[in-house]
Amino acid sequence: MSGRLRVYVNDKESSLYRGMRVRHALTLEQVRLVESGKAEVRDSRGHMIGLDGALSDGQRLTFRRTQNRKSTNF
Amino acid sequence: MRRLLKLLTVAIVLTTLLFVQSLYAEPLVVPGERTFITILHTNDFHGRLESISVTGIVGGSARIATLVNEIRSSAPGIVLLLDAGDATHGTTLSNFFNGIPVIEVMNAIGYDAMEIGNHDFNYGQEGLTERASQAEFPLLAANIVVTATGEIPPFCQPYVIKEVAGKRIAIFGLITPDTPVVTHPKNVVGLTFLDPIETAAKLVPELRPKADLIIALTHIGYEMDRRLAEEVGGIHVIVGGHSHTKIDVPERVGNEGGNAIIVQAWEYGMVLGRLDLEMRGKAIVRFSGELIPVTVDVPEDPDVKAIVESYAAELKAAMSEVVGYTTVPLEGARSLIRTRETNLGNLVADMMRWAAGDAQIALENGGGIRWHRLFPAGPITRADVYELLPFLNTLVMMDLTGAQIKQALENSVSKYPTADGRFLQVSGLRFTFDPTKPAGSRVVNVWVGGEPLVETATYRVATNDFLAAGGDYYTVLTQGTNFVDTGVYLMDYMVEYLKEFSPVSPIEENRIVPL
Repeated sequence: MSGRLRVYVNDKESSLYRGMRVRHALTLEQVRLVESGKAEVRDSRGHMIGLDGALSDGQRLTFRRTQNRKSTNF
Repeated sequence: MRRLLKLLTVAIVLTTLLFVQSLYAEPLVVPGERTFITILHTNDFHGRLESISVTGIVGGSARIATLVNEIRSSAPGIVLLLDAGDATHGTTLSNFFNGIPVIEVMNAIGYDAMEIGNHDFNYGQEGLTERASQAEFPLLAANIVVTATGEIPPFCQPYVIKEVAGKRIAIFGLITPDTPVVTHPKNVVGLTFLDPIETAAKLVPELRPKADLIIALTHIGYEMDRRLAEEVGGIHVIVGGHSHTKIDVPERVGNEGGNAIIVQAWEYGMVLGRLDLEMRGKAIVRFSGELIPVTVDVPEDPDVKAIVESYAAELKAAMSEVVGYTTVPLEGARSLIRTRETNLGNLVADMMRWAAGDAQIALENGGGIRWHRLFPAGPITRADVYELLPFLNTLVMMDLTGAQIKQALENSVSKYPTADGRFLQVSGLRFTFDPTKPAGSRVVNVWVGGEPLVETATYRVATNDFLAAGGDYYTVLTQGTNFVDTGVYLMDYMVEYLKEFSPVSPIEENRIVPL
């Protein structure tokens, strides 16, 4: 099993360690926006995923800002 | 003519029935023999016993309990409550007590089974064994074996078969094979984590004759759940976790190899998953489901609330517990810890190297050390430690070459003399740098364990997950090998370290020397 994962956020590729989580694929600013409820991350099938969700190899994520709402993730 | 029409009608009806029957694996049960099963599920709860917000979706185990009780009293048939792992570790309230309150609450709510998650290993195999004996429900995992014997470890069982109202329901567990890299290595010594798909492919045929309904309770992530549904026939439902995926509506996934209904309930107890099945024989003829938000207007179950409040009160008292002593003031002033070696920085980095166990070097960014003052000599409380290392950063380890370590040190001093959070406090190494040189070419000499750094050699390095993911411009730290994330916050390791080694007397040792 490879020790690395390829992950895409808004089509931008990152190489991360196997075992890393969604938050590790984002920038610090992106993480803060999600934590404050101003953004969300979805997988390639449109499901929202949490910042501490495990990543899988080749996974494609979409980060997008949302309407300002109460934080539901931290 | 009328008689002919009657005969024709009967023939058509019989033909239709035979055709429809051929579509099912099992013969149609006569009308009326229906079974209704409601599966309630949570996953990746991570110790969120208390509500995590005050408005909207708030979570909290006391509210989950209310929702579960309401559904138990109103659902038409069998109700099962399952958890797909990573329940017991994640907040101070759970971690401080080694996960005990989470299991106590799960007992009170009446869980039927729980799959072990990778973070449930964070208390070690001994802790997991204790939680398993505390639990009034089975902890499952079919793909962990004791390496030496091939046996299932004592803290889990591969599956459970529940016989309820004449139905036999088999629930088997699968854990992510990544577990050895997402918990401290010491927690999984002597264990082998088998491929979950291969395990299921062997187990499900054994379960089929023993059960009317087969549920896979998994902590392998949504993408692998989909593979499981497609590749292993005979599974009716996959209740998943690990990827923190919010599957709003249950999905039927699969093809000729297999197909199953997949559900997952996001994270942190913010929603309660509900899947309603109508079965005839061993076939699911109808299903529906939803994620029920755990909102502020859901009343809190008083019994569960009392359990949580009792532990919360005990924790509050424990925050003022003295966990260590320092015989010397500890320098944490922001302008200093981000520009030079300090004794506090040395203490934190030394703690990380100790906690890693096998690391020769530890690197911690000054921006993560947050006392921002000179901490006086004397007692250090738990609250002091949480203030010192407040970010929920975990200790990680990796192998890096000497060249990569030097590159990291270059980044560390690239902004010097400006105070910058990327400035590293270090353990296990010393280095000199020339601030008159351009950034990227300042590091002059590096020693590891007293010996000159060899750029082609490999060193085991401990750091935090933020830096390991490239934070603070540490791209080089993303390029290591043999990565492990212990899953334990630095603050928790700091408490352990102080308890072990107090009184501490850290000094500056010329680990970082500007020329």
